[in-house]
Amino acid sequence: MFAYSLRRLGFALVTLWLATLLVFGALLLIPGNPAQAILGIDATPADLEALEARLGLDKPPVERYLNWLGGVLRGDLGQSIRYERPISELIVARLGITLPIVVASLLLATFIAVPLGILAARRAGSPVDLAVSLGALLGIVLPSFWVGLMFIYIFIVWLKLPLPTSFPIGGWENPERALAALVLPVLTVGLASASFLVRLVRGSVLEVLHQDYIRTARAKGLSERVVLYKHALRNAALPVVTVLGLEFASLLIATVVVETVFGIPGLGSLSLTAISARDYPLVQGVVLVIAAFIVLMNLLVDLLYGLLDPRVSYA
Amino acid sequence: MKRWLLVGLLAFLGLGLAQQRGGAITIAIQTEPAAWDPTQVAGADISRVVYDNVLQGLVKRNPKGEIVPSLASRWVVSNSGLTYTFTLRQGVKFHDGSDFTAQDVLAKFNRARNPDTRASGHLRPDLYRDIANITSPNPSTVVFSLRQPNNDFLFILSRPESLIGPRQRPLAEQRVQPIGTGPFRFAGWERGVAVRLERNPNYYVQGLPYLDRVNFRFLGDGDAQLAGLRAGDLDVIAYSLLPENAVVLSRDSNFKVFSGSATAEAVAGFNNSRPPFNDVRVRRAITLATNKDELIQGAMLGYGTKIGSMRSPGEACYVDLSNFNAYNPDEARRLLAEAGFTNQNPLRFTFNLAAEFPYERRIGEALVAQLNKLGPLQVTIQVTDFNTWIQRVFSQADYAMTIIGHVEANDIGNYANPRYYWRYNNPRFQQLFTQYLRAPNQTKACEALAAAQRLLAEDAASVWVMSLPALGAYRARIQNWPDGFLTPAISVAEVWVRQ
Repeated sequence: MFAYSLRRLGFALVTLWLATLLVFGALLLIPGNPAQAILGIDATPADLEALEARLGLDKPPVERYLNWLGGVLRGDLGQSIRYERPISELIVARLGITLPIVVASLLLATFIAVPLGILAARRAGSPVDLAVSLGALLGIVLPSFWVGLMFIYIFIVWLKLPLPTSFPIGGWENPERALAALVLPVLTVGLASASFLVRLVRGSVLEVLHQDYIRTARAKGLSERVVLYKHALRNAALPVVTVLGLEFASLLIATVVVETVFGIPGLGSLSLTAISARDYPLVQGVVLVIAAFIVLMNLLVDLLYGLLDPRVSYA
Repeated sequence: MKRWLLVGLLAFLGLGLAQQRGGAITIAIQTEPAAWDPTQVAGADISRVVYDNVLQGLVKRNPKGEIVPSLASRWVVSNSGLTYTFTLRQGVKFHDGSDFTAQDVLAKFNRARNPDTRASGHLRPDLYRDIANITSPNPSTVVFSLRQPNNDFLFILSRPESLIGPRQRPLAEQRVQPIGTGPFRFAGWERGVAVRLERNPNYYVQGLPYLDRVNFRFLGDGDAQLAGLRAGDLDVIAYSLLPENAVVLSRDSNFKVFSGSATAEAVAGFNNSRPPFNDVRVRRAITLATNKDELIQGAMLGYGTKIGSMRSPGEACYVDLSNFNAYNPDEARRLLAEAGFTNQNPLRFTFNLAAEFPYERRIGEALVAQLNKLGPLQVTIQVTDFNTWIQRVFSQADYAMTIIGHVEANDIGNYANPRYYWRYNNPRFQQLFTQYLRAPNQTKACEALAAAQRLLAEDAASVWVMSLPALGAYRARIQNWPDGFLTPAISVAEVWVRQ
């Protein structure tokens, strides 16, 4: 177990290092530069050169990469070019908004998708199953920016619920208002996520129910309840947990759309700003943090596997 | 006598509509600038927020586009046009409590004209090149001596780059928290969310401003802006309301929609230096193939004004050339055939669009559809993000045709610069523009500028599709909203809220 964990950790670090190379290389390839974004379209070449020198962009790429990597190893993500603030400070502030959305959405999705998925699987082929599948399909094909806007019109403009349409100015200084601002985004992301998850739950429960050991359990005369909860669900949970872990990481990025619609200053909108302003250090910082989350979630999922399925060994 | 009657009547009406002090409003703007000092960073949204609200210059442009006193209460121009003498307003204080003095003006313009931008941190020394020296014979007077007459000099002093801050203020701090003399002080910038302004209790104009607080909120998405306005989280969409949303809101008595005359021209520019657009027949043909009325109706639902040269109807010395090179597809095909392009051998080129600008993007897409309908043209659209557009199209002129909104007022002079991204190089135009700049009086200046507008139209140097409106909306309780937009500012000093 210890050796396995160590190997996994090493693997995670290599993955992160590859991510730094990838994002640095990608930024070298896209056209545009931060100096131009700051100075505007009337800037002369001399102005641009001066600013690039001030930002250190005139140095060769290898030197810039090593400088950045050195900073990261010392725990310093550097300064944002656009915001002139420490990047770690910006990311922590934005994560403080995006993480609650992602966690709450996943909880909501699980609470909706697991019971519905089990129900649909048990009554496969019935009208209930059909309704669940259709609902899920709808949730998958409707784009979330449209769903979000519809929610604003239905809940706020028509029903006049006291919810803000965007994150309050002042943020968490006013926690009630800030929480209220997150209700609709969580609903939007949560429902989209649930639509995706419910098909997975249905599929894996259905598959497990056809296994030999379920037939054996039933043949032993166990009650349907015991068969389902003691034998089937534990096994059906494996793929669901895997996907939930990955879903957590991908939602960090997927919130871009919802954050745009609801005017939420989260990690998604930060990465969008960073890219359009060619704020290289900020893009690198955000990508690194997201990559770290993905790697961490993978690690957690692997370890959880062992708890759910004793057959998985850590040799 | 009549005048007194009018004044009396206005005073009487004023009693019924007494302005109320207090309250806070939230205004949506489209993008978040990188910083807030227009002397260090360019961008229209910077001046929309800080110009005349936070930072002021010697003179300013009011919503009608006129140059009026600001920190200078009056000025005298010598007959030679070479000496500008400004009388400064006395007793003005910056938001940090320090006095505004002639020394601040001297420091500012000496910094501005320093050609070493690395040392000065100032954006555009070229604007101030004609200044020979600046002196202050006494504390309330500043004198500018010019090397040669410049008809745009007052206009230059009214530009966002000419705003004045305290001379001791470190540039790095002025970038993120500008200090000025305006009716509002810059109270805070929440990155990614909003900027907060608070009323300046020591403002030198008695009774102003009316509002206690003004928030400028960054919301890029037009539909999210509309939802926020309807739900009550926003009070004003300042300039970027989508035409279809304007139609919807104008039917609702809770909101007022306004379409102010503005200084922005949607310019479909050619790369004039490259084949085939170095051929005037091709440029004229494309102008003739453009149905501007249809574009204004179709892409903008009627919000927009047809123009035919690089100037908007609200600006001084405007010449109406909107029907010059008017829509004529047959003539367009004839000219293209003359230049060697037919249905069998069509002219193929790529049209660049920047994704971020909703007006320009939809106008550009509709324009390309019109051109492709003609027959001898095969145009493909390439959409990129704005930063890529700046680098490829604007900086390197690596393009054939593109479209962008030129927001700045009085920007026809860009055609006098052969290095500008249109790569338009016509000595006759450059001569006319110099004539305008150096003209001894306003009449002569306007004559030269009128000839310059005509020359551009004859040359079909670009397709000037329309003058873009400042299309916005506000909640009905907002009073005195400036509906003209011939200024760089969203000026809120005199706005108040009916309780």
